[in-house]
Amino acid sequence: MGGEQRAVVSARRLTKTFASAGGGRDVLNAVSLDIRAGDFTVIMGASGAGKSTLLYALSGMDRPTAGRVTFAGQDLSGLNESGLARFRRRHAGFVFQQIYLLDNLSLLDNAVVAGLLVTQNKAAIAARALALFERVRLDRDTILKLPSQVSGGEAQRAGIVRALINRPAVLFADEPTGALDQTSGTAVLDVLSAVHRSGQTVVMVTHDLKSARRGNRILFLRDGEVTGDLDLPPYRSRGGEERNARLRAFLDGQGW
Amino acid sequence: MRAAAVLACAALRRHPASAAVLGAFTALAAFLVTLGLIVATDYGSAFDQLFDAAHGPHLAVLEAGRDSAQDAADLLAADGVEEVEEEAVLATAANLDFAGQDVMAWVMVSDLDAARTMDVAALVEGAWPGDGEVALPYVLATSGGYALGAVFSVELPGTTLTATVSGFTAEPVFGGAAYQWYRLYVSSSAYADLAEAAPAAAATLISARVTDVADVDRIQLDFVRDHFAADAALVGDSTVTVAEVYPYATARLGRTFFASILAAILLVFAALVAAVSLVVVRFRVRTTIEESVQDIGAEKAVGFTSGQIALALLLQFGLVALAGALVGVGLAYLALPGVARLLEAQSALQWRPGFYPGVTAGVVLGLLAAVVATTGLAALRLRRLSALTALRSGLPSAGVTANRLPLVTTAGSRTLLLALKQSLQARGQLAMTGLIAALGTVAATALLSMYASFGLTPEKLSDALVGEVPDVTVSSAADAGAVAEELAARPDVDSVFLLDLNVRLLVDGALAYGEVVSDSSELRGGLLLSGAYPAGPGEVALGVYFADLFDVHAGDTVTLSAGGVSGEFVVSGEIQTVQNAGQVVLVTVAGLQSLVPEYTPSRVCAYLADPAESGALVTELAADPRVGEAVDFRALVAAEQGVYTGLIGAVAGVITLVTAGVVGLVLYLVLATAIRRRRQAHGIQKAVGFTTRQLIGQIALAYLPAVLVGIGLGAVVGGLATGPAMTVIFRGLGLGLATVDVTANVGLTVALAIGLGLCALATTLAVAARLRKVSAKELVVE
Repeated sequence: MGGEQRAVVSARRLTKTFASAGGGRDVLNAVSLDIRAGDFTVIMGASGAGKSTLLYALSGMDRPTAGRVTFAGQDLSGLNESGLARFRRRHAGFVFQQIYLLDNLSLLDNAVVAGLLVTQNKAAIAARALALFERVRLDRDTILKLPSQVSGGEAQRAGIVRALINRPAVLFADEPTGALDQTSGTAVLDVLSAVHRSGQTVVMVTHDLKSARRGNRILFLRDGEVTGDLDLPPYRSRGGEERNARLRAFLDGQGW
Repeated sequence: MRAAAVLACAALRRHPASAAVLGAFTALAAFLVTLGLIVATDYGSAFDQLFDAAHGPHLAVLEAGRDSAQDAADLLAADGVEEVEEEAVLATAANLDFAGQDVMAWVMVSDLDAARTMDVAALVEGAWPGDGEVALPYVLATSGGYALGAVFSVELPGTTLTATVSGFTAEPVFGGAAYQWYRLYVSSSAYADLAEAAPAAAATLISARVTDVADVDRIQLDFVRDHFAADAALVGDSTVTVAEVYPYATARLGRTFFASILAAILLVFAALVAAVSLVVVRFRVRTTIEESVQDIGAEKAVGFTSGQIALALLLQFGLVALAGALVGVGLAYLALPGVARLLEAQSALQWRPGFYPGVTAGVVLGLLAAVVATTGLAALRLRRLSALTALRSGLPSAGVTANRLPLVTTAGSRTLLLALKQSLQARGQLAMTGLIAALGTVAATALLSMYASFGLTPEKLSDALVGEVPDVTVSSAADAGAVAEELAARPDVDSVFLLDLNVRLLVDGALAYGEVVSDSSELRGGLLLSGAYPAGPGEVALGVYFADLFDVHAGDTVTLSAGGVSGEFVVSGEIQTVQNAGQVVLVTVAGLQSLVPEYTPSRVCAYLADPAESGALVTELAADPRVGEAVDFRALVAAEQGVYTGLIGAVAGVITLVTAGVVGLVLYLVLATAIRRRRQAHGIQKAVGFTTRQLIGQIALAYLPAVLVGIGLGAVVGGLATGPAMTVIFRGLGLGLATVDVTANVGLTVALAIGLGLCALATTLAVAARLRKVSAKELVVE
C-alpha cells in the first residue's frame, strides 16, 4: 500500500538533543522517515523513547537540533517561529493528550477560533465547524458549553474538530485517549478512524495497544531511533484477528 | 508559626519581582506620608518656637504722630491683653535691592540696644552690628541675595543708611515673608544719627501679647475702631502716617504658607500611593491563592490549617510591607534636610527637623496594619477552600462560568473578541489598573495645571498674588497726572491709568488698605471676583475679607473714613488679592477725593503695546527728574514669584514621574501575573497557529484600553477639578482669595496623557514580550 503513496512529511536525520546535567541527551537520534498521505500512522514506544518529540518535530511544533523536515513540500528548517505558526495553522492539526481547549471559549468557539486564523469568513467557518461537530456526534447544546462543563471525551472530540477545521494535510494526535476513560477513549478512536477513512492523513502517538490497532502503519521507537516499521491492512471494527496477531507479533519482536 | 514562616519565605523566593513591586509601593507611600506628616505637624511649631523664644507680639501697632503712650495704655486695658511695650523706631517705605531687583518694601530700623522684652532679636548667623554695620532679617540672606560683609543701602526720608551686613536675625514677625516688612538693627549711635537725620520716619512700635490668641482679631478690630476712626490723615503710602497693625496669625500664616501647601500635596499623594499599595496587596493575595491553589490543597491535605496558611500570607506580605515602610521612612529622613532648605529659602524660617518617634512609629505601624488587614480580608476565601477542592484546582470564582461574547454570533474581529473575552475575565484587575491610572493622572494633571497656570502663564499667579500687574509703574509725587498724559500719548504705550496702593482707610471702622484707581475700566488684572469695579465716586469694591467680615455685598452700603472724614459708599463688587491678607478696598480717585479733596494719586501704571519693550521705557523714564522711580513691574513680580513657580514645577515633575512609575509598575504586575496564569492558554493558541505578535496584540487590546481610559478620565477630571479644589484650599487658608484661576493647560495635559499612555504601551509591550518565551512545545508531555 505504501509504495505508491506520496510522502506528505519527510524527515531526514532528525536529531533532538536536550540539555542535561551530564551534557546533552539525544531524544531523537538521526531519524529518517516518510509519512505517507492517507495513512493512519501510529508511533509507539516505551515512555521516554521520543514518540512525542518526534511527533512535534514532524509537525513543526518544535525544531530539531539537527536534520530536516519537509512538510507538504515546505522545508520547515527555513521558517522562523512566526512562519512555523502560519504553516501549522494551515497544514497541521493537533489533538493533545491533555486536550488543551481554551477555557474561556465554548467548544464551538474553540474550533472556530482556529478557523478564523485562516479565513475571516465567520459564517463559512461556523458552518464547517457545525458539520464537523455533527460528524463527531456532539450536539448543538453541548458544543455551546465551555470545556469545563463537558466530559473529557466530549472535550477531546471538540479538540479533533478544532484540529480538522482548516483541512490540515496531517492530523497529529498525541496520546489522544491518555486522559480519558475507556468508553470515551473508544469514542475518540472511532472518530479518528472515521476521519482517516474519509482520506485524512493521521499520525498518532500512543503506547496503548488498542489505540495502535487503529493505524495501518506502525512505527516503533526505541532510544530515539526507529527500530520497526509495520504496514497493516486498514482497520475494521469487526474481524481483523490476523491483523491483530501481526501487530502483536511485531510488538513482541520490538520487545514491547 | 515556624511552619507558616517557612511557607512565607518560600513564597517570597518564588515571586521576588512581585515582592519588590509591593515593597516599592509601600516605601513610596511611607516616604511621602512621613515627609508630609513631619512638615505638616512640625513646621508650624518651628515658627511657634521662634515666636516664643523671641517673646513675639501677638499684635503689633506701628503708628506715627499720635499719643503712643495713651494708645499703649488703652491697648493694655483691652480685655485679653496681658502685656504691652512701646519702642521708638524709624519706619518708612523704601526701595531695596532684592535678589538683583529694585523692590519697594517697608523698612523698620531699630536700635539694637533699646530696652525690649518683646520680639527680642536672635542671630541666625554673623554678629550683632557695630558702628557702620547692620543686621538684616534672615530672608534677605535666603532670598534677597545678601551675604555677611555685603554692603546694604536703603534710602530713608532725608538720609541714606549704608552699612556692612554683620549678621542675620531670625525675625518672627517683621521678617519679610508676611508683610514685606524688614526690621533692621543698627548700633545705638548709628540709630541716633539716623533718627536725627530722618525725623519724618519716626514712629512708635506698640507690641502686645494676649492671653488667648483667638482674641487677637477682636482686640485688633476694637482697637482700630476706637482709636483711628475719627481722626488722622490716613492718606499716603510712603511713610507711616497713622497705623499699621500686625496680628500673630497673619505672621504665622505668611511663614508657613508654602510648607502647608507642600505638606498637603505630599499627604494627598501619599494617600493615593497608599491606596494603590493596598489594592496591589489585595490583588497579589488573591492571585497568590489562585495560582497556588493546588499547593494549598496539598498543604491542607498534610494538615496545615487555613489559619496557618493565612498566617503565611500575612507574614509574606507583612514582611514586605514592613521592609518597604522602613526603607521609605529612612529615605524620608534622608530627604528632610533638603526639604528644610527648600522651605527655608521661601520662608526664611530656620527649621532643623529631628527624629519624630510618633510619626515614624505611626507610619510604619499604620502601613503594616493596613497591609495586614487587607491581606487578612483577602485571605478569608481560604476558609471556603477544602483540601479536595483545592487539589482539583477548584476555586469557583477563578474559573470561567459562561461563554460571554461567543465568537460565532458576536460581530467583530477574532483578535478583538478574544481580547474582550480576556478583558471580561480580568475585569477586576482592569478596574483596579484603570482606577490607579486615573488617580495618578488626576494628581499629575492637577500639579501640571498649577504649574501651567502659575508658571507658564505667570500673570495668573500675579493676578492672585498682586492683583493688577501693569508692565511699567512710575511714581511721581507731584506730577503723576502730567507723566500719565505724556505716557498715554506715546505710540509704544497701550493704556495708562493711576493706581495707588496701600492707602490707609477705614471701612466700617476696620483698618483697610485702599487701592485707588483713576479709571477702573483700564484694569486688566484678576482683582475682580464678583459684581463690578467701582465706576463712580460713590462706589467701592470690597476685599473678600471685609465682605465676609461685615456680610456686605454688591448693592449694600458701607462707610469709608479717610482724613477724618467719613462717607457712605455703595458696594459695586468684591475683589480678591493676597496682598495685605485681602484686607483691601478699591475706590476711584474721585471717590477718595470726596473725602480728602487734597488727595492726588502718585503712581502711574502703563500697559505697553509690546511688553518686551518695558526695560527700555523704564530706563528712559528713570532719567526724568519728575519721576521718583520707574519699575519694570511685570519683570519684578515675575522674579519674586519665580521661587514659587520653580517649586511647583519641580513638584509637578516629580509627581508626574512617580505617576508614570506607579502606572507602569501596576501594569507590569497585572500583565506579568496574567501571562503567567494564562501561559498554557497562550501555548495552546501558539499550537493552533497564533503568532507571538498576534498574542501580544491580543494582550495589549485586552489590558491597555482600561489604562488609557483611566488616564483619559484622570486628565479630564484633573483638568476640571483642580481649579475648584485649589479654590477650596486657598479659601480655607484665609489668604483673601475666594477663587483661584487654575485651569488645565490643554497642551500639557494632552502631552501628559500621551506620555502616560506611551509609558503604559511600552510597559505592555515589554511585559508581553515574555510571550515569545511561551512555546507550544511546552504542551508536549513526553
